[in-house]
Amino acid sequence: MFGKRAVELINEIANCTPENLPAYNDELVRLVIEEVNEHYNQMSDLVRSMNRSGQDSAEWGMEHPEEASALVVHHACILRNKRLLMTYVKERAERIKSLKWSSRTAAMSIRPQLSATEVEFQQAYDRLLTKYCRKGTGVGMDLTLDTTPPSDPELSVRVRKDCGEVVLPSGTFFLKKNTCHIMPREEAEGLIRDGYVEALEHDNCLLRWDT
Amino acid sequence: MLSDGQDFYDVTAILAGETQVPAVVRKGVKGLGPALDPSCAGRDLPANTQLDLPMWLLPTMAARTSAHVMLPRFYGEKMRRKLQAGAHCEDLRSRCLYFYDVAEALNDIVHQPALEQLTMMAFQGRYRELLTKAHTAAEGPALTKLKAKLTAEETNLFAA
Repeated sequence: MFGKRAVELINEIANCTPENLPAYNDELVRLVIEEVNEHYNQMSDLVRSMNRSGQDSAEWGMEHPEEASALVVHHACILRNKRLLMTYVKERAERIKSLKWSSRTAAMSIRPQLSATEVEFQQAYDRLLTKYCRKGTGVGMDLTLDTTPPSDPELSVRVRKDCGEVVLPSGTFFLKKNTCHIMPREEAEGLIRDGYVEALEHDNCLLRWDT
Repeated sequence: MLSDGQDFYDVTAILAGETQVPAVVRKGVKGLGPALDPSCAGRDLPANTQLDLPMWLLPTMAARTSAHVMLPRFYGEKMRRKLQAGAHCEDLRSRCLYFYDVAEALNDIVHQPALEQLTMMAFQGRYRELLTKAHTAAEGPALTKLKAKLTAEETNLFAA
């Protein structure tokens, strides 16, 4: 009672890093909704007894202060549970959206954690964003790249995972783990977001350079 | 609990609302005795029961004079003396993780100038240490010890 279960949902979200998402807690959401129904039923009983008395609500409240307090508490609990449930759903939706912008691999890897409705939301958001970024229907550029203003058209990167030979518009790169490369920023951003390379400052790369 | 300017979806505000605050339930509550007070013998909560209630329930009950809200111990005279002696030494995190948010919410209900003065004193006494250490302290046991004493609001300020 009193939103304790709903607070567990919020704690699950709060205790998770922004790049992760816990599994959708279907069972706890169901229990919270049951709790709300229980509060509503008890409120309904009190309202029925008020209506049976034939008095107006203020008069009834004066004569039955304990019942009136109970009505207030039940109502506050329903509003509290509603707020927590809505926050839970909204917070998860916001994280699903933000992962599309920050990391493509993370966005795909969290799919098993999502409810069926959330998967539909993620797919619809992907479609919407893709349409908006496409030439013709939208702005014609991938807005999820370059989320911070670039200071240099090229970027130094270090390879985190072996990718073999990779052909990019600017040229062919042999991406062996721990090698460093200089490549155009827009090509590097995609590889960084997929987790294959990491960005470097020029003087931080101590290992073999490859151009 | 949703005071002016507070976001409905604010997770921090929601969690701060779970803080337990002592109150006297003036009029009793029918059918919710054990739910509100686990030590309650009967089904109904008797009038003038003193118990701890969650912050989020208090504005509604106080507005209808169903409950008289009291200040928690961590806003009392003993804390005032400790803060006067050395605010930056006090482990506010263990007293109340949302020390300032809860004080702000309580201030709307109890309207006690002493509460406002106490939280100002706490913040003024701790802010200088916070600001200095945020820029100068190196990672290590000393910094970990400092961070362990900070409230949630101070931790966000420190990180910023």
